[in-house]
Amino acid sequence: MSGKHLHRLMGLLFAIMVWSDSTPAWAEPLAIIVNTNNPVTTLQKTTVASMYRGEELHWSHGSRIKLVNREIGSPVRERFYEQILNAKADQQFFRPGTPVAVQSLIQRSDEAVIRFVAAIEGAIGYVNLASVNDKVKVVFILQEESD
Amino acid sequence: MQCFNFHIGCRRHSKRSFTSSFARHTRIHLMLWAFAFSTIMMPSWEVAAQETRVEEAGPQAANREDAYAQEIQALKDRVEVLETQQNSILDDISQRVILGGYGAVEFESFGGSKTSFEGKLEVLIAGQIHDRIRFYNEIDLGIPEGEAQAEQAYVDLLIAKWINLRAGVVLVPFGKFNLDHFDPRRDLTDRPIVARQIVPTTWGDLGASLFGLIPWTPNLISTYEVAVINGLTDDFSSTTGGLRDARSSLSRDNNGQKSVVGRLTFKLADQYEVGVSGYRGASSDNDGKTITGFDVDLELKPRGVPFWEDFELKGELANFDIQGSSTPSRLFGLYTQVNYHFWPSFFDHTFLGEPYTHPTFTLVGRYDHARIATRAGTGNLTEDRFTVGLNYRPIENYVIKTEYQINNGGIERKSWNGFLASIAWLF
Repeated sequence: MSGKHLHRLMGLLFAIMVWSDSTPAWAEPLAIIVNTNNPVTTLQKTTVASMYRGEELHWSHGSRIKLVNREIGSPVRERFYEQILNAKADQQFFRPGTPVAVQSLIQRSDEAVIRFVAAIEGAIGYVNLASVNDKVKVVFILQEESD
Repeated sequence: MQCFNFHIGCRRHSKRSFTSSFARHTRIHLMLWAFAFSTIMMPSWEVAAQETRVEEAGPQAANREDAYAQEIQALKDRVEVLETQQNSILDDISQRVILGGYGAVEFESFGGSKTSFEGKLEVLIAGQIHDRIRFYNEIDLGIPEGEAQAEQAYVDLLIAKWINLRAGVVLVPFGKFNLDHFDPRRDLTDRPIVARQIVPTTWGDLGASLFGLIPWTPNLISTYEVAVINGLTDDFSSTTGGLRDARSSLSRDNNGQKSVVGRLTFKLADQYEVGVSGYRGASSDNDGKTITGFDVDLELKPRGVPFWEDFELKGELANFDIQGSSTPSRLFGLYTQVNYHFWPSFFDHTFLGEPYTHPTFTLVGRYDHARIATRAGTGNLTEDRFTVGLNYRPIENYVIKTEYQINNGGIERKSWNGFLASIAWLF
């Protein structure tokens, strides 16, 4: 292989390295969490969406679903709304026939969401998977998607 | 320093005093070594002494640490209990009662009539009496009429996702516009003619309904509501023949027969919705004036689809036939509306954009048509309307709307063109 070809090959390899380094970062998976006393073990993405849109009001075992949300502007909320609800982070969902927004409790950190879900039986929330501890149960994991 | 000089110079001492000198030097050397040894070793002795003291205090310190650990654990437990209590209270507050409202102030200027401001304020009170029982009240404070009235005031018994019971002053499930008539949610100030003269929105009535949601597939759901209500009266508008004045005004039924009304929707991925509604009921006591109506509505909000996600398309078509009536005998109307949401980035650093997360402009185009027919041979009343509007929403619950209407007909605005503007808010 001539020196010219070698230089070209090295240039190509360098370009590939630069390109691979500049591909979008992968976001951390999101975990949908519920109280450990909740008998539900798994949920589908559409069911979670249906809950946050206010279409599902009660768990299959009967108790009321209590939604926990992150504040507008939180990256976690942005990803949850975009990938689960197919909506912008500040979109509101309304109870049909009313201008009353579907009620959810705002918590301002993963830890606060986990504490609330751990304390309130009918609660459901979303956090970064890395933040999850044994005080809550994970019922759905939104796998990594590129930013 | 002195010793050192002496030590260096000791070999230079005279022989006559060697013995005594030796003895003296030996003593001095011993003293020096002792001093050096003590200087070097002293810290070690001190450390050793300290260690001895720690070893002596060890059991006490360990006890103290245990006590601290227990105290910290107790505090942690207390904090956890308090957090649980706080979370329960937060949960209770957030779910129990919601107090809110919405308002609008409108300005209109049309040829043939005086310019005017109008307003509206409605109070919303909603909440849960129980996990399975919720209530909702929407009280129109009566601006500008001066008489407050319940637009909605009902209680829901939530039985299951697919079947629930509602009773009270219900929003009549006929057409999408009636169920989503709220000023801050709409993009134009004026309602379509079909939503005023044909379907008399805001249309509430005393009665009871069953409603629910049926999921067909994960992405396709249906909703339904079937209500039994007092129903429309035969108090048709003397000028237009429209049904606006035929609403029961929450008074006792003017006939003994109840009206049945319902709406069924199909919703795909929460983006595309088609609704079908039907109505049938007597309008007076004995003269057989039965009103039959149907309505088809459509709303397309593509999301996550490049380019098209900025557009919304909505429309509604309604028809009523009134058996045994000559004025009117048939009412028909439709509207179709396109919304385009946009936000030029050069507004980002202005007062319109800077303080808000997702401010939006919406360009709106709407076409309206209505026709009210009689069997008396007096001909049809028709009206066509084109509206172009632009609104600004810094947040979803506050909107400034402007629009221009071009009218042609004889029902509402006749052939007067005009300008409308309004501000609406929801809290």
